[in-house]
Amino acid sequence: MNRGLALLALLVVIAAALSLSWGDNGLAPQDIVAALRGDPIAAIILGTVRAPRVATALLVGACLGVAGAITQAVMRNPLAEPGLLGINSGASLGVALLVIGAEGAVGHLMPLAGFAGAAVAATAIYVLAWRGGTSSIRLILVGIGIGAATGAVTSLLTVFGDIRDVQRALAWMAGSIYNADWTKLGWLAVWSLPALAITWCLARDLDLSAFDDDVSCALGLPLQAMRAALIALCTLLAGASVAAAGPISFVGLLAPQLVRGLSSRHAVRLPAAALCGALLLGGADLVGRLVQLPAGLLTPVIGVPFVGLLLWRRRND
Amino acid sequence: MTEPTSPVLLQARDVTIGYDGRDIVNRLSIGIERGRFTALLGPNGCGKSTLLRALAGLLAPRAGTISLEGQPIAQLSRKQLARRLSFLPQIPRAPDDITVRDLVEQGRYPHRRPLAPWSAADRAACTEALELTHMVALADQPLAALSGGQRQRAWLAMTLAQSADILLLDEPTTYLDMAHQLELLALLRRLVDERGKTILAVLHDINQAGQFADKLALLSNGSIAGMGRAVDVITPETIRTVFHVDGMVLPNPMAPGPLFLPRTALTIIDATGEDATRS
Repeated sequence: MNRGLALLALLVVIAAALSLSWGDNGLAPQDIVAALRGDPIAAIILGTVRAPRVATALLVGACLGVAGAITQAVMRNPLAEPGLLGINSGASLGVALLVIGAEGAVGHLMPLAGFAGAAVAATAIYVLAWRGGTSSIRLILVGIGIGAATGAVTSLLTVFGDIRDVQRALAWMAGSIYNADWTKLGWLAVWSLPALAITWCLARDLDLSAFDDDVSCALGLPLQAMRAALIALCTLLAGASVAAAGPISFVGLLAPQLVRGLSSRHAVRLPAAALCGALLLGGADLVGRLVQLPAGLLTPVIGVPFVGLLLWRRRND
Repeated sequence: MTEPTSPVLLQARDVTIGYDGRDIVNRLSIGIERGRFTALLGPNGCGKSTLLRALAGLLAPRAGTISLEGQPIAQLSRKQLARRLSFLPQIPRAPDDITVRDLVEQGRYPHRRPLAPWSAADRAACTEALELTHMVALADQPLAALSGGQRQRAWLAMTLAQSADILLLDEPTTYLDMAHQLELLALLRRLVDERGKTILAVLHDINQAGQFADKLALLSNGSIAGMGRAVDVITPETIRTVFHVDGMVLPNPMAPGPLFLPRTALTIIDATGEDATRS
């Protein structure tokens, strides 16, 4: 069981090392060592270009993996992902409104607009799904509805907006970590690390949330309060990721799915989903740099066939 | 254990329970006695499950109070209640890849503090629950791979791991074949006799209820139509009124107590084809 976690951690380290040394200017392991010893050129390449990018990719991936594990437990559906809480569509709308609607240079506000859009969409879904309490299926259905509505408004904005603004918004919506720096990474860490820690402390409650309402309540789970807290954590994690990297699809769906077999306990599943998410996005960013594409466009390349495979496996259910 | 002053452990007083503005149970009062096996019987749709969910604190009554040893359960937190009272729904659902052991260990949830490690008491309660239900050999199997009877026993083991003194069980024998039904009822009997548990179980077979339970409560149209020992409750008149079944009551040749032999259902089908027995 913990061997699975160790293997994942090892793979993440390998991906990070590859990612640090790969680029227009290749760095051999001894260059990395040189940078650590104070070689200025290697230090600049590593310290200001690659390291923040690699760290951002890993942390965003980990956040998305954990956010996905939360969504799958709360929605009691193995195919659920944070996008169902309106995170990606809300963030896209927030950024589209900012870039297309506001005057002047607003690039530095894009993460904030993305986070705000994600939070507003997730809150709207939670409130609209409330009828004296929430239920998993109502959350899913309202989530699909809000996703479609915000998507439509975003499309409308891109039709009427100035073409240069639209292009910037669309580039952001592709999801990428190419312009990561230490400041952005710092903000991401401030938001997400406490949320990751709190989520891990709630692992046992997540285990029970995946049961039906009567069973979990009869076992003493304060279901409605816990569900609200978990959705808030998921919004925080996925919202912080989308603010840092734009909407990245499929990592939140794939990472928890891939590690499901390790254990039915979230005490194991959460760190495993975090590592797997980090691996997926770290890998996507590495490949993306090779083929000159943003990581957000590469995750669907793995994601779409995988969902097809999942559906094929469950065809007889 | 000191002898309690009142034999009633869990009590509903004048409760009215309903969903979406429709009352299913009307001004009903019932007292569940400590250390007894009470069977709740009644025709489909009479409010058995609704009453059980309310007694378990899962559904707040629109009027009246439910109290545990004199204290209204609405004043207890979910965890406090779960340490005293366990409830098994008719069709409980779990994540499909969970193993029996992981399922049973969930029963310890109300006893564990946040982040506290798995304790010796937790381990002992789970082992005992698995042993009582004969699930030790199947503990590492995924729940989805088990037969209906094994799955029911796994869920019962989870309920037992909760170590509550009251067990509320909604149709625990449904979907079980005859042998497994008898085995489960014998286990419930042992839990009452040997562990002093208080059990309220919804059952369908009135003769099984008469054979295994201490008391029978008959529910009809959301109110108690009769409650007491099997000899007092199982009469042709009561059964005709509650179940709309005509038959006769014989002395059970194998055990003390009555045996009901059904003859025919008094179901009236009216002109619209609707089942009018319950109107």
